[in-house]
Amino acid sequence: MNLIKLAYKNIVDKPLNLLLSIILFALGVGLINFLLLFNHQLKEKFEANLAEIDLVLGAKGSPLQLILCNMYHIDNPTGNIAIKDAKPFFNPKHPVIASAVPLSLGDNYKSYRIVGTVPSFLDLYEASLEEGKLWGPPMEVVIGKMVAENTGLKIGDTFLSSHGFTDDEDLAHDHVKFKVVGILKSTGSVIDQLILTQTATIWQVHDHGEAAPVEETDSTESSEEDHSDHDHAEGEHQHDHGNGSLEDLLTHEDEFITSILIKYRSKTSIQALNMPRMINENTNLQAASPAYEINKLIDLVGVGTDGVKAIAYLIAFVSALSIFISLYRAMKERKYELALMRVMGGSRTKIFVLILLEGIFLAVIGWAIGNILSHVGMEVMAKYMQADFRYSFTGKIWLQDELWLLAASILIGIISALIPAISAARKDVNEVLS
Amino acid sequence: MSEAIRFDKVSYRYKGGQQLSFPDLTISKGETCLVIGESGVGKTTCLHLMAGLMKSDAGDVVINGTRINGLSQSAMDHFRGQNIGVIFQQNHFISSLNVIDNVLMSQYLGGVKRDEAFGLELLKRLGMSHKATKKTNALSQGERQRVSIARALAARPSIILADEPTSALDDSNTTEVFRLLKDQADFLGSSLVIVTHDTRLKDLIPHQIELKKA
Repeated sequence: MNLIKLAYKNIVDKPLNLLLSIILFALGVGLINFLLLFNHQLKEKFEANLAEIDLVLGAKGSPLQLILCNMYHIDNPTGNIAIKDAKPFFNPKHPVIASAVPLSLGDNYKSYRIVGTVPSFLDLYEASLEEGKLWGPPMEVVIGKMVAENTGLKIGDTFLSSHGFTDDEDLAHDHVKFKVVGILKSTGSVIDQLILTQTATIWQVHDHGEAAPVEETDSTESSEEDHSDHDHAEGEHQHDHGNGSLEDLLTHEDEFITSILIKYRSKTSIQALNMPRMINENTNLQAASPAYEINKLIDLVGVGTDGVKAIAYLIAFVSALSIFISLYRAMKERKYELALMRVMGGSRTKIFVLILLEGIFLAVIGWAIGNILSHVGMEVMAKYMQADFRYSFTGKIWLQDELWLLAASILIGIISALIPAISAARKDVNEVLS
Repeated sequence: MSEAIRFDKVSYRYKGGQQLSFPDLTISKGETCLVIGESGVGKTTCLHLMAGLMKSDAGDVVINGTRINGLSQSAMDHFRGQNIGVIFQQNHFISSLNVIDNVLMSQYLGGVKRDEAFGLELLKRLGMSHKATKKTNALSQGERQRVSIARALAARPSIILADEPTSALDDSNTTEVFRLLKDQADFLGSSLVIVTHDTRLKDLIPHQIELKKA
């Protein structure tokens, strides 16, 4: 028997007395820990998906929408841009732009977006093939790891796409089949959830001139989309976009793409800093800076998480108060036992440490329950959030900050126990016993 | 050095200002002694002074050759744990622990080496070994008293102090509890001091110290 064991027994002996304190504490810890896990992963994913892209060019509209659509693939496109307008930005001798990657959106397969692009798109996310080969002629696709896992698509499989960004059989393009030729390694970024192909594929699936129809509102295509003669009618340009290279793409001046992802040569050059404004004022394109828009978004979301955080701290404070009251009451109830411990030779210090240990135990038990709750909660929420955010969240990660939370919990336990411990230690034995 | 307890011109002043003076007394090692007196003459105070739970304002309390009124608070706690076992009229226990753990607690707090076998032997001598793993709140009043005797003795103190151990008992139980106490004290070779107003014990203990109102 020692003080640690005795403190533990005192806690578990009458668990109901302390249940409320522990539940409150677990709730506070759970909420804070959940936020830690959530924010950490959200930030990590946002950063992974920034992929060092400095600028996104697309049709006029909401800059945030442009970013969310073309970098995070969670919003709809703002519209399309003509290749002849986009062409100058692909000039390899451009003084400001180091690299530019075109994107064409418009279709999905089981909610996974089909993205028409060029091979250098893979470099942005440092992605590489796990098996198979890169897409070649139109209709050949390379799929991200998560697409492969969740749809069961394998190399050699074919599938039909659905128009737009939600899985809807009524909107299926049933005249052309995609063929999987490669699967990418998992990167942890949004590319895991994309189906990649060459830009011409998107054009081929849709009617000519409507490279990436966006909303139902601009689907004037329906009348023109005569699927039966689609292949024949477009036979003329099948030979056109054969190899899918950027140079080839740029020859189709009358076609459309959705956006361009741009990397600067130097982020800090005056020209680079001025470029977004120049584009927005002088062209019918829109330029948006991912870092700026995402910080703005995180600030907005941050207001929400700050609110939850404040509630969590309030709960933590109330639970500290509740621990204090529980221990104080327990100390009063047990004044005879504490006096007897003194009679048996226990020093004031021992009594003090005993009550302090009880506070620490309460806090650690609360922390442990809260910690488990937050991880389980994260894991459960992850399943729902994956669809909404295109991110795979997990409850199975451990952060260093969680240990800090444990340290803070122990501190709260000590502080809550301090007054009961001092008053228990200072009690005069003979006053209690006589 | 055969004296266990000595009072030398001891007096104690209560917070209210009332002062009690105690007669000089000497209790030898291994001896059994009764401290009697009317209510209010300071019997409990006398016991608390012997146990070092209170400090005398004047005079010396000497236990096993140590002037305990000169000890610091923590030294006194330690000294008491090693030398003195106390049995109170009301028997309180650490409610989260079972009987044997309560008994062994006095070894731990007294800074004495853990000796579970000895604790169990004491319980057996007191007819309580079958309750060793029971919670203390499941015990009857008489059982509680036996366990508190075992607890007072588990750290092998050389002095056992008992405060009104029999006042709530009928005649036959009074004799039995005294015998139990006396037997255990003799078993350890300890001095036994019983502080009481219970006159039934007078016939059983020849060495009596009577406290009188000043």
